[in-house]
Amino acid sequence: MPVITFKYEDLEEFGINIEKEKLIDILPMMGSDIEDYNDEEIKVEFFPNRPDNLSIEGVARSFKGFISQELGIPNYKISKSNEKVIVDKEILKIRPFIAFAKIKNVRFTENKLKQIMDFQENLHWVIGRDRKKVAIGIHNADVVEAPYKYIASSKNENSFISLETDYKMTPEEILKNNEKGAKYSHLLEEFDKYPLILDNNKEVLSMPPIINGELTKLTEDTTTIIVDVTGTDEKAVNQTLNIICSSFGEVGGEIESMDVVYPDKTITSPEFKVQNKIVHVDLTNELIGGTSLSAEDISRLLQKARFDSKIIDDNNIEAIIPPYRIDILHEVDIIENIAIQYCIKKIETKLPNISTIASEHNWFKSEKTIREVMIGLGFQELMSLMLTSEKSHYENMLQKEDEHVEVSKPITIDRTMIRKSLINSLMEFLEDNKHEDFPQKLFEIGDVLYLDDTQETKVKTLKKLAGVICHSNANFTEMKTNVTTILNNLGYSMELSSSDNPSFINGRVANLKGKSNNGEISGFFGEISPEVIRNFTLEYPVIAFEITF
Amino acid sequence: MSENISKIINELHIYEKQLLNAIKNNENISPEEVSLKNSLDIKSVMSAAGSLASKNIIEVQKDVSEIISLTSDGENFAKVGLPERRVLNELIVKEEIPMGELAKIAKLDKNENKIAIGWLVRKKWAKIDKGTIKITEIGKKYENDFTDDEKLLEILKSKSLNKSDLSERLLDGFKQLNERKNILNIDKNTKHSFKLLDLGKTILKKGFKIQKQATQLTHQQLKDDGWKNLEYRPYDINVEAPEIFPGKGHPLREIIEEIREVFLNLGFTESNGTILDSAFWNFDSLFQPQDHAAREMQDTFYVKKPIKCDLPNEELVSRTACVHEDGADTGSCGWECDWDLDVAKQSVLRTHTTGISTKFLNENEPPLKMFSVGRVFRRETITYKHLPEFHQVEGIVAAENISYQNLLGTLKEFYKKLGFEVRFRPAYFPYTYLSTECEIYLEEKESWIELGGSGMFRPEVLAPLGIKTPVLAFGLGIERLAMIRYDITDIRMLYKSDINWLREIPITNGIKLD
Repeated sequence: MPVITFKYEDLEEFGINIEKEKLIDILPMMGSDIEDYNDEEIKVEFFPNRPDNLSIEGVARSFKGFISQELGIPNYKISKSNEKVIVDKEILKIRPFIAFAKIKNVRFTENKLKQIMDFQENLHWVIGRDRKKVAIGIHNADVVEAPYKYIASSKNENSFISLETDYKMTPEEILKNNEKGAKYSHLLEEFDKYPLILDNNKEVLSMPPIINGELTKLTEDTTTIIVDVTGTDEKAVNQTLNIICSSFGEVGGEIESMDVVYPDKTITSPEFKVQNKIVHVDLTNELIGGTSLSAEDISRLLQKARFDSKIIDDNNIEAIIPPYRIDILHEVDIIENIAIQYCIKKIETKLPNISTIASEHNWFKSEKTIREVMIGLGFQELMSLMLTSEKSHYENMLQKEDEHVEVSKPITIDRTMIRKSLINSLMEFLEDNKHEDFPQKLFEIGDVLYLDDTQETKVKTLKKLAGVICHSNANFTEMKTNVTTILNNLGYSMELSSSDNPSFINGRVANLKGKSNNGEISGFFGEISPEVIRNFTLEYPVIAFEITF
Repeated sequence: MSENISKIINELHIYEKQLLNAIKNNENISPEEVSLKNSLDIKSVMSAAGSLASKNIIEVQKDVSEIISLTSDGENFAKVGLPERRVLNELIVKEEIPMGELAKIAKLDKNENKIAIGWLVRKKWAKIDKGTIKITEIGKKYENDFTDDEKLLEILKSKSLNKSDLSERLLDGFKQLNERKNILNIDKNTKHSFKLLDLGKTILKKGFKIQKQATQLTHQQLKDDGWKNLEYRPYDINVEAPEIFPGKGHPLREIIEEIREVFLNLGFTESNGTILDSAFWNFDSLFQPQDHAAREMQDTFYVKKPIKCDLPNEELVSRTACVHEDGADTGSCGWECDWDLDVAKQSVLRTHTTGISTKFLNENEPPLKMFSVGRVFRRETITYKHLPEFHQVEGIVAAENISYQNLLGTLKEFYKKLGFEVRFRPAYFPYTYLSTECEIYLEEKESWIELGGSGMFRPEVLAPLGIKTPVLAFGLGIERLAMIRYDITDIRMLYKSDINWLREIPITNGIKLD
């Protein structure tokens, strides 16, 4: 999740003077989660739908709206320059979209430079899907000259000095030898040419989505910048540039657009377009509930959300959505913004006024009954993870491996499959507690998965009940007594047959069938084989049973 | 005080009473005598004495005596005389004997030879001069007189002696004899005696009856009315009793049951689903874009086998596809990217139980209230904070005129019933609007902790399912509630539990019992 860190004093630049305690109260209510804070700085998580809040400028903009210090869409300075970016035809097959802007009158301090780096990285993650969909480069504009070219360069041409290096490398060398290059090389590995952005003198601004050139590196002296955004999704590329430009706009940056010349079309970048959506007064009040907001109220709340608004009539308001907001897909999103600005703390809570009759699912109702019998017999209930391993589930139990649900990228080697039996987890529990007092009587009731081609999910879920008893005199008879009592109390009559289950001592294990008017169950019980007991490093006899419902 | 004495008397074992009475009659009585007179074995007497002593009723005094007797070597010397005596006898006749012939003449073995020479010199009975032993004047005097060690040896021939009974001279003799190896046996003999303490005197003054006391009430006594003539000995209630271990429900399960009860009380219908589901139900039906970060391998468990699920009916699938691509007729612009059927078919271990809600909405008509408790899976390494699987309770309410206000009301009521006061703050989930997080303030952490997410299902979620009313929805974590309730900081406790924790944790859950 994207997190932004800033100092309380950073807010002063934006005319926000607020006590720490108040800030900590207000920030969550405008839609964020405070991760941590101390006396100097605060770490705040904003949600992935609001990348515009991932810069301090964006936070200040939203915050000033929330506390009604500023309303509506800010008026950023934007003008048209005569500069151009020419898009090479060949790049369309590799990374087909680019957006470009020049911003004058920017100021950097050491702190600002760090913040802009974090902002870029957060955007790379949130919108860019780790640079795959969108990648950003910010450059010192004074050292390069228009027109710019976005080309597909052959691997061995156009060598340049990339950020933090001292000598020229070819694009191919960068992918192999540079740290950033190696990290992101998978994004280009299927291509035989690589993207480059060049200026009129063939100086390299950047090699998207990998790394920028050292030439255009930002310093505290930089006053004019060029922002390039490239990617595979046109909408996301444009949105990203809008967000970055607005952030600089918030601190007086003068945005200059330029023409991006594709082989078949020319567009103006940044596009910086607003969106219009109608929001209805009646629907807003209906969906929030307990409010009777008027058109004027809603109009003002929209402006607090830094939208512009026009009241069309009593029930229709036109919301004008700023170019940096990428989260408004539907009228309901605008209503959410209205509710947040109204402040959800103020909404009166109320239970739904519909009467329905409860019904308990039989799957869980029966579990409750089974638990009652087991607890009555003195068994301690356990809950274990459904993820287990072939080693514990089959090998340690001396069972032959059969078909089961396998996880494709396990986190660890002991969590590779979904269980089909509960006994091995009970054995693991005994192992974890082998130095504690005996007797230990344990049970678990839970779901297991079997492969089943006839199901939509290709698996079926079964309910199993398993129990183990461990103490120095545990034997077959004791388990038979328990199992008989369990089946009787669950309303089944029991039939036994001989079993050759390899987890148990030969001749001391039985298969069981339980019959009742409600159907049949099956299972087995007996004395666990010494080899299995030792596989779980236990030193006392263990008896066990398992029943499938 | 007297009440105290009565209580002490009451709890006296019959043996203790018998011992006290014996001491009362004869302050010097020995345990053996008590044993004899009361036909108790000596062990019972001593254990009664120990018990009385522990209660400061008597003092048990120990008197350790050393009983001296002869070994078989000692007896032999007593018969034939000590080696030096035997030499003296010869010297009295011969005046002097060459060292070399001593053994032969006095019939000494090699060992005795050495002893004899040593003691002859030490007792000054003889002196050695140029290889010859010559008798002294003192030696001559002892022809008919005996040294202390010889006297003691003579007495011990007929009886054992208590060391403390020896005269000073015989004690010297004892020391000398004891210097020689293997002549004397010394048996340490401990004798116990009893001394009444003040409490014992008070008890005896007050007096008590001695009646035969029964310990265990038996079937026989009840059947033949024997209990009427028996007194049952009061027990020391502070005696340690062996532990037993009860059968109990798992704490996490208890909280799940409590949660189920709350929703059943609120009129919700319970539903269920499978932990393995298609990405369609887990993600696509919830309008999660196919390139959403949460769908990546990093966070979600994909399944190698079975690698693909079937999809539900084509109409639902194609409506879902349209909503993703351009919003269809929902008024939404959708995600504006292509929707891939194969991506939707992938099998996943469900990352939330929310797919149960969309399935339920697909099969049921509002008005409805539904909840479901189930396991969900996230690709997390097992640490004290995270597990790859945990539980969620999922719920929806769908009806005309349902609003966000009702969502907050439902959640507030739910948490109130579990004993938690929550606050709500805006959040984000791809499948809801008015997305809201429930949080609880933890004093010890000085921060708000997230408990669960909620919101109103988006039109893009509802339209393909054919639902025309608003739907409020929530998915709340359970483990965190359990951790707060049971005051544990390591989530692993819930799954790889310590058996002692399970055995000891009270099942009252803070409920006042009355």
